[in-house]
Amino acid sequence: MKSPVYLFIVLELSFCLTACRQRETVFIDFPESEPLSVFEVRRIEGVYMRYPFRIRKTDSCLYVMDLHGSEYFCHEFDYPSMNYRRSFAKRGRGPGELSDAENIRLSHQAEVWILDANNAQMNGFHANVDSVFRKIALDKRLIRSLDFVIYQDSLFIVPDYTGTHRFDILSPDGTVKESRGYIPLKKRNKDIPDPVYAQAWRGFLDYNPETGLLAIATQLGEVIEIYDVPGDSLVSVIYGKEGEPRFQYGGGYAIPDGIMGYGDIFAGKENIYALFWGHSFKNIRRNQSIEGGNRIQVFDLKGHPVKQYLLDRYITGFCIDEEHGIITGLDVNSDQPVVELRIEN
Amino acid sequence: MKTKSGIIMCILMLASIINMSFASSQGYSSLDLENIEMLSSGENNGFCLGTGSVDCPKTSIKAILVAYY
Repeated sequence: MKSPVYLFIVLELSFCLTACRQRETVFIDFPESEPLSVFEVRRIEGVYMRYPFRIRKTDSCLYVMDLHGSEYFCHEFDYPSMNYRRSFAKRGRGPGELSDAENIRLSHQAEVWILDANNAQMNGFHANVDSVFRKIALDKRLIRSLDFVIYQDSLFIVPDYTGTHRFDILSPDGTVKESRGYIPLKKRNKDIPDPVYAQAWRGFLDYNPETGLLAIATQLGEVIEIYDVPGDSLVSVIYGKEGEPRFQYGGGYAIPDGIMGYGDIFAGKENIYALFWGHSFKNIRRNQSIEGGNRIQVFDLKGHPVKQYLLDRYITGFCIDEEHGIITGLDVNSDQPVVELRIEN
Repeated sequence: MKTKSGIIMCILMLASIINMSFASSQGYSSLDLENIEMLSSGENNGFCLGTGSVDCPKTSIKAILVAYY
């Protein structure tokens, strides 16, 4: 008679333990730090970039997005020769022009997508065509999307700027298909509106379609979140020693405080890599800081710390070829920003 | 008592002067002044400085620093 009761209790405990393990909160402590030096500078001739910020690479082509491009936001080069091909995504207010560029993504259909947050639009470019082939107006409920990834070839994922969720999945027409997750606040002040928290917790995204994992790294503080998007679950929240984003609430906005945290993130097949700046705003105000981060933190797909790379450059954006063990980064402080570093496979 | 109050007042004034002069030598001159924007002009004012990657609230630029007054 008692056996079914005990069996029920054991099953319930097993279920609870499994559920708890699905959302781990891990504090960053890297078992290993490895210094890395630039082994190759991919020289660019004839193209001036004011603030190279994002880089995307294929076997034969390299794209650099200039966050503060004065004429064009994007430049394309042959890779590895770095012969200049073209500049596109023209800055301006005319038809087909962009007011802003937050990130650049390459689709499997060889399309190049650029998010214009100021105009709340996704802009699609074909290879070898400088004009926009498609503009997608984003759902007005999103307020202001500051990053994006391509999901399931035709959808987009953007961070949620309303603060009511963590990210939104958009339909091909730019409307919100689904909102998921929550900002992993330990304590919420009810006098601070949700969008203010969303500003403070502004995160950079990357998604890997083979693993199904979406990684988010906060620009302030030191927090990384990993979501299993197809499985609709939170895999892990990882806090570094700098902890949650810090901010002051003023004028209805989140005024950054504490530190500049992460600057970019790459969701690989084997690991997740996050570029950490770690500069305090106190030092930034005193002009005692440099743009970019020189630490790439490596986590496994469950969010456990693997190692940390210490670079000899400060970079703003990067991508990783895990198969060949190459990090390609953007040194915004150099006249030749495209640099490569080698890592062990 | 009056002497003590006077000394305290002088110290406070001196501290204010030192703080103001320190704030004015923060090295802002090396930043890109083209990107200075003023935020709301209500009770709370702030501004965005420099050419960076921090999304400036209310305006549409990316800055190094968002200061708050």
